[in-house]
Amino acid sequence: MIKISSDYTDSPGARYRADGPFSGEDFYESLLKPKFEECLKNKDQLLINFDDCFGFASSFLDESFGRLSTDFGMKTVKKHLVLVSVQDPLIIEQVIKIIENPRREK
Amino acid sequence: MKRLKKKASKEKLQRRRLRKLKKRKRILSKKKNKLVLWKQKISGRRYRTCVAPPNFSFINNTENLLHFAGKIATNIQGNKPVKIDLDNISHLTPDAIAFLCALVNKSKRGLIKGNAPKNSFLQQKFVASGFYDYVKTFKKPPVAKNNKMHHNKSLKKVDPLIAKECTLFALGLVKKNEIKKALYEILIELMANTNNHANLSQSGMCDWWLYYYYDSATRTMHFTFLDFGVGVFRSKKFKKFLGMLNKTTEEKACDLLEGKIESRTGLSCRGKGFSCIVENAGKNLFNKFVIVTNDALIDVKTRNTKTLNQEFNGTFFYWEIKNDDQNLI
Repeated sequence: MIKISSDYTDSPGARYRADGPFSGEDFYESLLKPKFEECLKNKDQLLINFDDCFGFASSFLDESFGRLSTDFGMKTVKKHLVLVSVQDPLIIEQVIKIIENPRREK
Repeated sequence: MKRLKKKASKEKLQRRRLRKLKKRKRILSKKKNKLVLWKQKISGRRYRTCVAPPNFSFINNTENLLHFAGKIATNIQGNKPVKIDLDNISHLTPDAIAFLCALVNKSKRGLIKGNAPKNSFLQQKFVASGFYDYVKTFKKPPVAKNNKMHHNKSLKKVDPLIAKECTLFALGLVKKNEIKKALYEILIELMANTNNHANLSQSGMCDWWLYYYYDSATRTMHFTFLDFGVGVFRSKKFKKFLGMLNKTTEEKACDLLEGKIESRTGLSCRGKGFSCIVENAGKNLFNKFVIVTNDALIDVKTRNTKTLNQEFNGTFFYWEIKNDDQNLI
C-alpha cells in the first residue's frame, strides 16, 4: 500500500523534478513504479490512498499515473491498482481517466 | 663586499615592494573614483516623478495602473531614474501592492525610488505589507501577521511548501475546509504555468510573486499571483497563435475559459493546468476571480471580458475568499 501523505508527501508538486520538489516524476520513479513492479511479481494489488494531502496538480497525476499506464499498459494497471480516497472521491475518477488515456507524444 | 651586496639586494626588494604597493593603490583609487563618479551620476540625475493614480487598485483601475507602469518602464529603458509618488493615493488594494513590488523589482537597481502613502491608514497597510523586504530601505518595518509577500526567483520554480503555507494561513482565518484542495491546486498550477510557459524560449526563466492579505474588517482574504512573462495568449504554439490573430479578445478569453487553448508543448496530456485553475475558480468558494493577461481582463465568475487599451506583458491572477461565518471574529 502507498499512502501518499505519509509515504511520500502531503504537499505534492508539479510534473518534473526540474520543476521543483515532490514532483510526479520523482514520485513515480522513487515510489510508485518500484512498488507496482513488486506487486506484479507477487501477483498482488497495490492500494493507493490519496487522503490527507493538500491537493494534486493535474501535471503531478498525469506524470505519475499516466506514465504508469504508458509503461505497463492500461489493462495491467487497472487490474493491479486499487485507488482509495475518502476525503475526495472525485480524484479517483480523475486518475482512472488519466490511466485510460495515457499520454501520446505528437 | 658581501655586506654591500646584501644591502643592495635588500634595497632592490624594498623598491620592488614599493612599486607594487603604488600600483595597487593606483588600481584601487581608479575603482573608487569610478564608484564615486557613478554615485554622483545617480544622485545628480534628475528623478522623473511618476505620480500614482489616486485609485491605486490593479483590478479596479487596470488601465490607469498599466499606463502608470508604462511611464515608469519608458523612463527606466532610457536610463532615467524614476521617483514613484504614492503621496496622494486615496484608495489602495492588496493587488496593487503586489503589482508595484513586482514592477519595482523587475527594473534596474538604483533607478527607482519612492515613498509611502500620506494617508495614515493606507501608509500602515503599505508599510506592513512586506513590500519593504524587497526594496532597499534604511530600516525594514515589521510585516503584519495578516499578510505575506512571496517572491520566487526562477531557481525555486514550483514550491509546494509555499502553497501549503498559504493554504494553512487561509484555513486558519477563513475556516472553510473545502478551500484546502481548491486553493492548493490553484497555487501549484499557477506556479507550474509560470515556470513552464511564461518564457517562450526556456522554462524556469520567469519569477512569480504571490501576495495574500486578510482584511479583518470585511473578513475577506485577498490573493494575488503574478508574473511578467509573455502572457497567456502569447504562450500558445506559434502556428496556432497565427490563427488566433483573427480572433477578438473576447473570443480568445472564451477559448481559454473553456479549455480550448492547448499546451504550447503540443503534448496531448498537457495543457490541463489552466482548465484546472478555471474549474476551481468557478466554485462557490471564491467571491471573485479575475485574470489579467495581454489585452484581456477576464472575470472568471461572470465570464465577462474587457479589452484593455494598454497591454499587460505578463499574467495576473486575483481572487478572494470571504468568511461568511457570523460567529467567528
